[in-house]
Amino acid sequence: MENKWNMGLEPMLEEMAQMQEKMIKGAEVLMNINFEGSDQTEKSLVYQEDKMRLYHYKATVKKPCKIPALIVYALVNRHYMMDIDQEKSFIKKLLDSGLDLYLIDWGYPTAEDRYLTLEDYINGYIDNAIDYIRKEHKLEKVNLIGVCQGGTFSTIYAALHPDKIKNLVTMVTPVDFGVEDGLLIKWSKAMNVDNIVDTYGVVPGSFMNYGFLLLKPYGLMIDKYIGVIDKLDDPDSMANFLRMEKWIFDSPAQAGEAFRRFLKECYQENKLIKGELIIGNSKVNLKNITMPLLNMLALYDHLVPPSATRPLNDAVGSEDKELMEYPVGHIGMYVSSRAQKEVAPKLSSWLQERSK
Amino acid sequence: MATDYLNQFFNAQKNMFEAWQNTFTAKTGTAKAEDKAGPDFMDFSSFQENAMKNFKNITDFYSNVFNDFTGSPAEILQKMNQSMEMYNNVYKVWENLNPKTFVPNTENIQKILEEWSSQYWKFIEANYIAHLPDPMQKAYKQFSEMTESYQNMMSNFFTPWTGNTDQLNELAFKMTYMANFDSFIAIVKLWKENYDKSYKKILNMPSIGINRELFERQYDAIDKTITFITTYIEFFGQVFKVSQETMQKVITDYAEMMKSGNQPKTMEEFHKYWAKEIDKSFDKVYLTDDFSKLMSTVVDSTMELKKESDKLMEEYLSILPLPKKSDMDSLYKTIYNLKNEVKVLKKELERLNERSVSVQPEAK
Repeated sequence: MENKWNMGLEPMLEEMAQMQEKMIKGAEVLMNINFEGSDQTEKSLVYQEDKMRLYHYKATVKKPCKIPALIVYALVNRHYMMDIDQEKSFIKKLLDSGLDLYLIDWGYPTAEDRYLTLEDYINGYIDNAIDYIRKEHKLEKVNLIGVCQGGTFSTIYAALHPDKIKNLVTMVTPVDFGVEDGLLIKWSKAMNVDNIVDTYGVVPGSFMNYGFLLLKPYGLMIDKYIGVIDKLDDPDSMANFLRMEKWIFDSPAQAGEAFRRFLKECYQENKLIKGELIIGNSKVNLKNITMPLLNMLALYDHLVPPSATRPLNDAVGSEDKELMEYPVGHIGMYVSSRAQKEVAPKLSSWLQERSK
Repeated sequence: MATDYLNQFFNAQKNMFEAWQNTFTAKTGTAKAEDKAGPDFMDFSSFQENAMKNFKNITDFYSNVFNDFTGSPAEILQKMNQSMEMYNNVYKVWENLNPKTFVPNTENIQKILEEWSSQYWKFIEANYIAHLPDPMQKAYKQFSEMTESYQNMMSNFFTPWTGNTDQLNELAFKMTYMANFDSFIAIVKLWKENYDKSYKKILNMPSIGINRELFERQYDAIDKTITFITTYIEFFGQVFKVSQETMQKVITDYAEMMKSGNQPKTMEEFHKYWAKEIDKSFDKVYLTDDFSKLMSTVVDSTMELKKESDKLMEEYLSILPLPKKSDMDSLYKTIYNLKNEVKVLKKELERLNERSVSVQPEAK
């Protein structure tokens, strides 16, 4: 007997039986699973201001790089994606390769943070963190690594305070929002941001999550969970899956005023690349970025399209600048095997060569 | 007063009908000249023979008809004209119904009814009201204007719904029996348009009285809820439409692939193929300007609903000894400003301390 779609009935029955077996074993796995392990690389709290915390990672080599680097993560989601578990930790890889790392943890904004502005983040928290590191290491300049939106903030910071930055690394960082090939950028352009911020004050993380899920509704809401059935009877694979799952929905709220300006002036008006963005009393001129620049992008990035990242290299005033493109996705830049084998080693060696 | 009026009215009616009856008594055949009780002003030959006599007949006729009526001659002439107009209206109806020109189908009957209806009140005024005493005419006029306003209002209110009933029915049929998502989306859009032109206006009417603000807020919340629901339905309709169309495409393509034997062989392969197709379809729709606008509208309507619900909730809770979100926002602003001041002062102090340390003279 053959079904009308010409898919033999026998293989179908076999698949169904296998699936059932996995489901039964999976239930047992899930009852006993331990998926701790994210954000476990050793670090100490060295500075804090409001909800922002500055951590210093414990060096894993005897003589780490002389110039420490500050990692500035995005306000969206949490930094521990770079330290998702010890086997795949991007941060651990950087430490093991000799970098001295600091990281800003933005925390979880609450209602009282609705009035925080881009100035507070860039000229306040980031600047204070940089000053702390400079003072602690008795250095004029430190290295800055910006990730995604944190990369945009780092770029702005480096343009405003070039005297404090030795080398700038930007990863999956949007700078040119005038492109048409990124859904997030396209949708953001049409949004009534004022209405969102005026309504919420502090924009909830769940609101952001719905937006991200809608970017790939089938893949992120259905297919992903169908795929997990294959891993159900494997505790390690399931633990990896659950760690990522936890991270994906661990979305901090967004401080309203900063969110309003970032979306309006960057996403909608594309002021940064045009040289029209004003932070504090200063216009952000990307040509002020004269320090070495390493710009790293993910070719399959569905959140920050490569076209929004590439223009940075032409916009800055640096002579020593490099653009690296990897065939990975936005998150794959940190958690994929390529991240361990290619991205982290490149970043580390590039910085160390310029930190002597 | 009422009895006087009724007497006047019935007398006027009686006289009028008698006068008309006499006027149109047959002028030919067996009827004798002496049988003519009324004026014969329509008999033009005798009119020519004796103009003065006919003029008297006419005035007698008017006198008979309106002998209980206290109006000026000008008014009377006006009423005569109105009467003729009424007659003409009836004639028009008859003419329209005349077998030589009239085809008795639904459309033609509807047309005549509409024409008749449009002339109806004028007809009543000409035929009936003109003969009422002044006070009653004034009362009628007020009533008439009120009725007309009411009719217009109701007509304006229901026109959006009655105007596209056929269209709605057709779309509903396609949606139900042909599983057509375009029809579903179109129904929602049309329904919303109708709502905006009718019920929304009622909800947006200004309220009065001590609870004015609360009433307006409640109505506004209802309106925002309806807008939110319809926008969401449209949005998800679009999303489901993509899924449905993709599945149709996949089935068609699969049938084609089967001919050459290239079709996915297992369920897993088929699922992968389908998932890839559906992702492609979503990307295609998502990147359109229309979808971005729809997305923005969905978010906007969600925000509007939340804002109104929050305000309403604050209104309800205002009698309780609880701080409202708006109160807290004001407090947060104060705290934010104070924090910033403290930060600036702290930095200034640190700077001064550093300076004082650097300029301090060496200890003896």
